Amino acid sequence: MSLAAIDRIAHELPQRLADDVIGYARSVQAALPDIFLEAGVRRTEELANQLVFIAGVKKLYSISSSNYWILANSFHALREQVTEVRLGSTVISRQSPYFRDLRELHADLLRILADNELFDFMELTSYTEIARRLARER
Amino acid sequence: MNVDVVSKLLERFARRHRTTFSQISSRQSMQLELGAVIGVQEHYRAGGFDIQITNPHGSSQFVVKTNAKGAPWNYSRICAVRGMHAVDIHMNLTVRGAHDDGIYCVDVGITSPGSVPGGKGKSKWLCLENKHLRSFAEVKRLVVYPMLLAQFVGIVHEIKPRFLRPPTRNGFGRGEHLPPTLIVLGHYSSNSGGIVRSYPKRNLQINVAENFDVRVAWARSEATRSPLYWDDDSGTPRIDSKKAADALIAELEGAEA
Repeated sequence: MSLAAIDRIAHELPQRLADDVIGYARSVQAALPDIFLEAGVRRTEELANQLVFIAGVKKLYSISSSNYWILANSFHALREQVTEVRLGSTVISRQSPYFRDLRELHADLLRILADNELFDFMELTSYTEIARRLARER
Repeated sequence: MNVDVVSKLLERFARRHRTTFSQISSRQSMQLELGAVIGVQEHYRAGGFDIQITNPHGSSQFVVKTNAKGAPWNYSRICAVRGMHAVDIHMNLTVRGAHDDGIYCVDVGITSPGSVPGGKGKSKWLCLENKHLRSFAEVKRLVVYPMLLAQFVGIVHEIKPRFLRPPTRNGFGRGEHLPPTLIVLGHYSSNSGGIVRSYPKRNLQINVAENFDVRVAWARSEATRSPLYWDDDSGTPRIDSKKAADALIAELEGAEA
């Protein structure tokens, strides 16, 4: 069910990113038996769905976060010696529409995650811990 | 958590930012190449090296070399100097293998200063001779799985095998020159963390910088931190994730204002 929800979100993404998001959620779905076993948590359909959904969202967050922060931190690190960066045929500066759009995208996603109490899960790297936390919050 | 509600919000979010996601899709590999060379630069800066960037034609535009094609003098290079120690840092650098005439392309090449020509010469420049390559870094948009580690060890064997046998080379590591480093956006999967932790005992002088995007954000707050090494050998950043998240949201909102 939650893989279907991730499918619907991924349907709005370019194919390559959609494949990344769905592929990652599926890999977590395949690992569910081990995750529940290691977490010592009884498997329920609801918990399993939430875990797979969180996995897809984590991948979406990772795409958004890494692309924004790599550019933002590159501009910071290059400091005053560089005003813009050329990547292939694209020139990007702090003022360029692409960088502004990346920042808006990432801020928008953060707000959705924060408003729905999902942000903490983005910071957790262990699915065992996520399963335990979800089970505690039920 | 209501999956249906969040799912609908994220569908609308993805639709709203469809154009930006398309641009991300076509550029993210190149952005990661940029991230890798900046990560190496910041490692040297954190080690007390002075950084000087040289852009082609003396401009203020940093030109990223995104593949093996093209002459190095048409792209930006970084010089890191600390006292008598200096290295140049290049992107997608072609280099001669250590064992034969094979030519390889490393994502980030750390070289002896001035060993890569700064302009076109009389004869065609093919690659850097192996002896001038001090070290290198490779970057992957993957989780760290055991076969990826094995592949990287193989690359080091072909290009800089001295880092795979004792005695350990002095002057490489945290705060010093960078040993061969695998930079990865993803995290350790299955037993790969254990494999990496065994490298020092096996005299493999190899660094693995997993979770690279997290590291870059983490190192940004303090110039003395290398984004390619955590604070200690625990393999985890010593940061408060809640504080980091709040700071991140505040920074983004501040930038929007």
